[in-house]
Amino acid sequence: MLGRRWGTAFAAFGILAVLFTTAEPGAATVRSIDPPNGQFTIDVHSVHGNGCPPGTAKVVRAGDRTAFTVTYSNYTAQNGGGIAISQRRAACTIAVDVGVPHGFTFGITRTTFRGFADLAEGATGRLDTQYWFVGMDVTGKIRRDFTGELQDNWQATDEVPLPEVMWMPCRPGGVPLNIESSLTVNAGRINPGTTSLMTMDATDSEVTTIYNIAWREC
Amino acid sequence: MRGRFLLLAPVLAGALAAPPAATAAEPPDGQFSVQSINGSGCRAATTQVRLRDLSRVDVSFTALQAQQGRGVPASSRRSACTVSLRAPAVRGYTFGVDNVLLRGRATLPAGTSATATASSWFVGSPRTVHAEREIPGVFDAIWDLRAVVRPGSVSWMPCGTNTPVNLRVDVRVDARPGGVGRISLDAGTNEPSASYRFAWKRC
Repeated sequence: MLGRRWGTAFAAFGILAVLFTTAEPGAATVRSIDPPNGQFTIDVHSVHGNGCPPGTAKVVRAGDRTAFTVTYSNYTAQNGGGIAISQRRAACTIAVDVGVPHGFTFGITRTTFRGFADLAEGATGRLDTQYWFVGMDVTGKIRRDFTGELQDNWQATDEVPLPEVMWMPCRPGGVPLNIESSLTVNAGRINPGTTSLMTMDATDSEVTTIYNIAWREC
Repeated sequence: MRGRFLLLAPVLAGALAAPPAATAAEPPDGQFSVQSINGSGCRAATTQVRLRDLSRVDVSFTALQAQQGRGVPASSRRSACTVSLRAPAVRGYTFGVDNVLLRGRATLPAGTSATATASSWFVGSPRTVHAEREIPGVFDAIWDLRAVVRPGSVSWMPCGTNTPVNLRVDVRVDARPGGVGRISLDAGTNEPSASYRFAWKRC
């Protein structure tokens, strides 16, 4: 039910990047060495958006900084039944610092969204997610559609490789990554007087470090 | 009526760490620490977490309720809260939720129903352990949801970490235009709204 078109396309991009980089002469020596020290880390820098106004979102971190949860108390989009049009979309962007291990390696972020949908017959809802590294061109979007009549909890997971990171393996410090989600609800024409809504309860993200490909030292 | 735990399949099973092969153990000494309490159903000071030992935690909610009726906004049809707990860093052990009990009160006329759900997952993970009970009307009493995770289906904390666990509860009145109903996670007795038991084992 949940599409992962963009994640697949991105994986292909990642593989291309590996091939190109390892074929590039002169920049560094490609050879078989021990795995790089450490692993990718991921940490929340800030959250902003009308789905996560100040005081409504809370962050919980894994001790080794390879995962986090953001929970929300007021991230709801609703439409129909006289609800103000401004409430039909709600969004939140999580600004994340990705820590890159020393050496040349490869990582994947896996982000899971959990929430609730209450859509009358004829109403539709949408979860849009988007990932981009600050200052870089490559962006991607994943869209998921929900159709009323529906009243249930839902869950959706994106897997996003971190190929861009490979272009800056020697950059000190973290690489800023934005994870944006939005919920949009359309009450439709069958039951325009009934309020339909979608809610986000939590966003989880974890990063996995993969050592089984070629890498090089800085 | 007993709820049943369902294990939602992980999206990328191949990339997940293999489950630790180990034997059940008594929990080590210590207490969980509360990392966060957040959700539409647990705003400011309406939630109490009772940390017993590392095998059991009780949570009481006084404002986690859902209702439907004339003049009640649609957003009141469901109420949720996620409590995040971290175990003390104890080398060589892991744990997972293996038993949950929810209780509350519901008032549901004929033609309406309500649903209570307990879900848990470790921070970052797509792997959700989930139990649900639907309560059909006519109903006007205390309800409960008792669920036991099958031994092979316990979701364990990754060994070598002390990743927090998220415990989400939610209740909702199933929408039907014109219907009226109410469900809460507060039974009005001295018993907690939610009781969790945790299995422990050595890594």
